[in-house]
Amino acid sequence: MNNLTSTVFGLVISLASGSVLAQSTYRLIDLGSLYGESRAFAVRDEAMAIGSSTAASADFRAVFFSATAAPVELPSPATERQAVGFAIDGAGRIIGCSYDLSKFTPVAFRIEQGSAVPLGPFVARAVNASGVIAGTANVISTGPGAGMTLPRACRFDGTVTMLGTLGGLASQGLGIDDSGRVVGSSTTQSERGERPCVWTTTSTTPLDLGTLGGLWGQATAINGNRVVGTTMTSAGRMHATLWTLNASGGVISVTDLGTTSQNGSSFAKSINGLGVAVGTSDFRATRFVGGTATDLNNLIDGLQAAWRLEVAWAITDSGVIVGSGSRLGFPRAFMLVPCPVSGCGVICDGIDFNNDTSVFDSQDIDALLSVFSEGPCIPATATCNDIDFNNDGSLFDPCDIDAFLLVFSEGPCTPCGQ
Amino acid sequence: MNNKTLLCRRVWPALWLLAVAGAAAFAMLSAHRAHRVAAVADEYVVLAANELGMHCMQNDFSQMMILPPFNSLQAQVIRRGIEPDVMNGGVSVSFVLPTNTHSSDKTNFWSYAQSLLGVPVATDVGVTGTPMSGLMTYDAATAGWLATGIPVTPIDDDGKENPYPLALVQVTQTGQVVARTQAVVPVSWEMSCNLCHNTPGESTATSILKSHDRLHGTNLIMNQPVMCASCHSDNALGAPGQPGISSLSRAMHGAHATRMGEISLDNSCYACHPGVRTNCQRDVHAGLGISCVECHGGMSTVANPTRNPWVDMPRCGDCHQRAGFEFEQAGKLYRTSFGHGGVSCMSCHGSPHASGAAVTEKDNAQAVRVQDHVGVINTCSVCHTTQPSEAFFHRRNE
Repeated sequence: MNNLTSTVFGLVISLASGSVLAQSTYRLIDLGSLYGESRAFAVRDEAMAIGSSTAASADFRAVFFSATAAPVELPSPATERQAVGFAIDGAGRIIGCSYDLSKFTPVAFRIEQGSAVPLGPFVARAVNASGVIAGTANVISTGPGAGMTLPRACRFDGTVTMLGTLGGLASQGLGIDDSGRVVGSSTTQSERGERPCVWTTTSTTPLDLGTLGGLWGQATAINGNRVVGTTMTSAGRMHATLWTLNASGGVISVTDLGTTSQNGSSFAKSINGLGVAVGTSDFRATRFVGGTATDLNNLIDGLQAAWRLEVAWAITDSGVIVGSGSRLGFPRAFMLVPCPVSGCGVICDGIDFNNDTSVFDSQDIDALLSVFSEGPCIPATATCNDIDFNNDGSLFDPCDIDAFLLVFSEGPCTPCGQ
Repeated sequence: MNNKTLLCRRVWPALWLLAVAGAAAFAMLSAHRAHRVAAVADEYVVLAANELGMHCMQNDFSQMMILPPFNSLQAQVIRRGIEPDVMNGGVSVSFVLPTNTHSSDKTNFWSYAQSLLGVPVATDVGVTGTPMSGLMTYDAATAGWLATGIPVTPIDDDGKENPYPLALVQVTQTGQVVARTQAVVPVSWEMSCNLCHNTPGESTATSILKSHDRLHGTNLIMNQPVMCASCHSDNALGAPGQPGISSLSRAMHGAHATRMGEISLDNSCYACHPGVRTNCQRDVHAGLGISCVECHGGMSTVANPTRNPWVDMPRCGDCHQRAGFEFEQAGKLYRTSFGHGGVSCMSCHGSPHASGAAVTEKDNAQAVRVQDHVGVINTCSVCHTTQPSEAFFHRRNE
């Protein structure tokens, strides 16, 4: 291969991988809440995400989120106080569970024609395109540990099939692929920790996926032959992990997806069809791609200081991500929409005129008006030339005026100079 | 929609759930009854409890820390017999929380632990070095095995809230499992400071720190993250505080005692202690309608400067009086007292705030499993292989 050929070949390769990596920045969308905390666990596209939010009663309710509208409480069985939406199947049906904090019996439900249809006494955590559900049921052991109520992974395809363990008493089902393979974790006979495992469709006995050298691990999602989760390294650290499986569920490779800091921890929660995984590292939402763990907080166009993205729970093939973060210190659901290569631009409602970390509220208007009075800004301790309308770190320059003017256009702002 | 249709839509789901609940209850009772025969043949029984009945923590440590993720589990192993023995060795005791196995993806505590505590803390390990699962350590003072400082959060691995995760405790002897039990390791971050500290545009922590600076001339806002116990002594953390500064308990209860009228909760304790959703007071007293203040007193009482927080606590004998019965040991609390031949009060009665017949199914699981009914473990055959001939004396061990 001559130099020119290798250069062209390299360019092709970089362009191919660039189909994923070109979406290197995101637009942050606050998914809101019913009355307090919120978290988003699954997403189909910008118009449909689900999760949970506290209501005025302080109870968690299952919630429908979208990028353009306020969150809507979903119906759920009325007998339990708490509810959460966890997954969306190929037909767009929402899967969730309702439960009481102090009781053993959750109720899995599926939203059908606007009503919550109870499916059985288990936590429905994941669903595949054809509607087969993976989850966890509490069962009363009649064997070892007789009389104990123990969590066990299960598969639901109209009836509940209880799945086995790796010799221990407990297991969890957390993910499922379109072929019906369930992933999760199971304790072993020592009952001192969990192992990551997969249940194929031909057996209820799980296969141990192995770890990065440590004793503990958990698989959380499966997409095709790729499984992601977290395992303990030989150094005793939690690292996001990728397993590649063969058709029979055997492990071809186990890969460390890395962390965003040298001695940090990381957890992978979801992986899309292109192999892009998301999760968290050092409790900051993280994208794992191409062997690199990247803090999603660093990939947001115009990230507002009030926000901290903490856990990315799901990602679509088009790269839309949802998760849970902190807005002004309070748990809040978010959505990240990939920006075009040119960037998303500054979003008007991200402007924080008075730099108090609360974006575009009435006090920002006060600060704005005080600019024109040429008097001291409000709060009185601030000065006008502290204002950084476009949050670019440069104080009160022409780009800030651009950002200011764009507020009144009611359209999305564009970065200064573009 | 006519009334009949509406009725059907409302009633059938309810009937279905009733049937499910009924079937579950029947299955549970059947399983437990089947188990009772086996239990009588077991050589050992293990009884586990959490020493407080609720541990609070925060979910966000970026600005301040009141309480870190810190939970505890203690277990007594009893060799069954005509005269049972409370074991002090010869077995290994382990614990695992099967639905809540890791924490560093649920809180940012480990990102700020060194700033707050001055020492690094390994992720998913508690401030005392205890991990999320593993072997428990024998402790002569409690005559049982302890896991102290488990850094568990109120979020299950699947992402949903669960302030009552159940630990599975397993006892082995020469590699063979000889006993198991389950106990709730309660934890909640439903501390609703935001009911009052809710200045628009500010985090709750910012509001708290600013208020403290304004009222007490401090500069906490510029020294984040702040550990409250670095100045205010806190027996919960073993923190001595600074001379001349009131304890955290006194400061918090005293400063807020006159302000609780600004909120409207049936139980105003749940404004700060968890909580209207968590309902951490869930024991037999809760079932009888006895509220927090009837044992602990009101906020002014708790703020009394002569009170030693976490040491001067309500005692069973303050209310319970019964001829021939004794309650806590002198100088000890319910959670550290023993009776009946070295058995911890908690082993039979359960955790504080979850004692007796709790209103919560999970807290009753241990009692139901070993004796077929909720409430105090009062069935002799749980530990005795033959029915004792002498009368039962509810006496403490001095």
